[in-house]
Amino acid sequence: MAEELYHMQKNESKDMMKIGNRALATTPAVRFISPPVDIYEDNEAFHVIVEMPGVTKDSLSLTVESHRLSIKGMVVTEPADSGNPILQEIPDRNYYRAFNLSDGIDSKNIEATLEDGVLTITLRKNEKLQSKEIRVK
Amino acid sequence: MYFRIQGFPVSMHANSSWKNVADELNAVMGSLVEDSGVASTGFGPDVNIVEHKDKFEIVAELPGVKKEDLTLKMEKGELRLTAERKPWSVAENSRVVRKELRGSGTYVRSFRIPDEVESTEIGAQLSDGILRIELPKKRVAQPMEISVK
Repeated sequence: MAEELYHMQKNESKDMMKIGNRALATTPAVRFISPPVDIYEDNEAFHVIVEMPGVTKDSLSLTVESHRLSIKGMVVTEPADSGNPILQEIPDRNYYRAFNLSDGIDSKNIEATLEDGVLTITLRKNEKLQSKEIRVK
Repeated sequence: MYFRIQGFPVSMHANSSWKNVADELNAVMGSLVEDSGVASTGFGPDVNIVEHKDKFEIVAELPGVKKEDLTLKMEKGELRLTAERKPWSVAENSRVVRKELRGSGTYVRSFRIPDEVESTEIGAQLSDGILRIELPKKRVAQPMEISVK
């Protein structure tokens, strides 16, 4: 189990760099930031929680392609000329983050919900990853 | 005229460049932006404040906060935002693999509201983890053009 996760985490940071550069090259106006995540695990699944305030169902895209789960969320911002900023702690940003999924994840059975700017993704484990009790005769 | 912001900077997400903006503001305007140590009792959400001709607007990031867990209270010229973020339901009976988000808890932040705001007409809307507070200015505080006969 630990090995699977190690695999997931190690690849993720590498991907982020690559993708960050690409995003920067194509859309210089609003940068993509990597949204923070929590990941929880129980026997059936991994649960990935992503904070993406400002993202709506329509502006979110989730894709799985060759074992990579990509999360992209766009934030609709008001035009910059509307008003005089007094304080800006929240930058103009969009969100992007990708995870490599191990073979132990059932990639055809991924569920996601977006609520109050928080995305919850359920990555079910296939039988290979689920712990089983062995009955002793 | 200006907001005095308490509890800044207390956000764990605070980017140093935004902090510098506050420092600059501080230098220019004296103690408009000050840290009152709110950090010890809760975290302050990140906010943007914009002044328009007829209103001020405060935008705060409150991901995971429900409407019923948010209170806004206007008292003695101070607007106080308190919001509770409940624990994630999936976190029960499961193991933590990675933790980057702030834990559940209370967001607290206060704003000193300038006199030119019509405090009885402050309105707020929470959607997609973003809170927007509109603070309309009093009529007399709005710029107006005088027609010359």
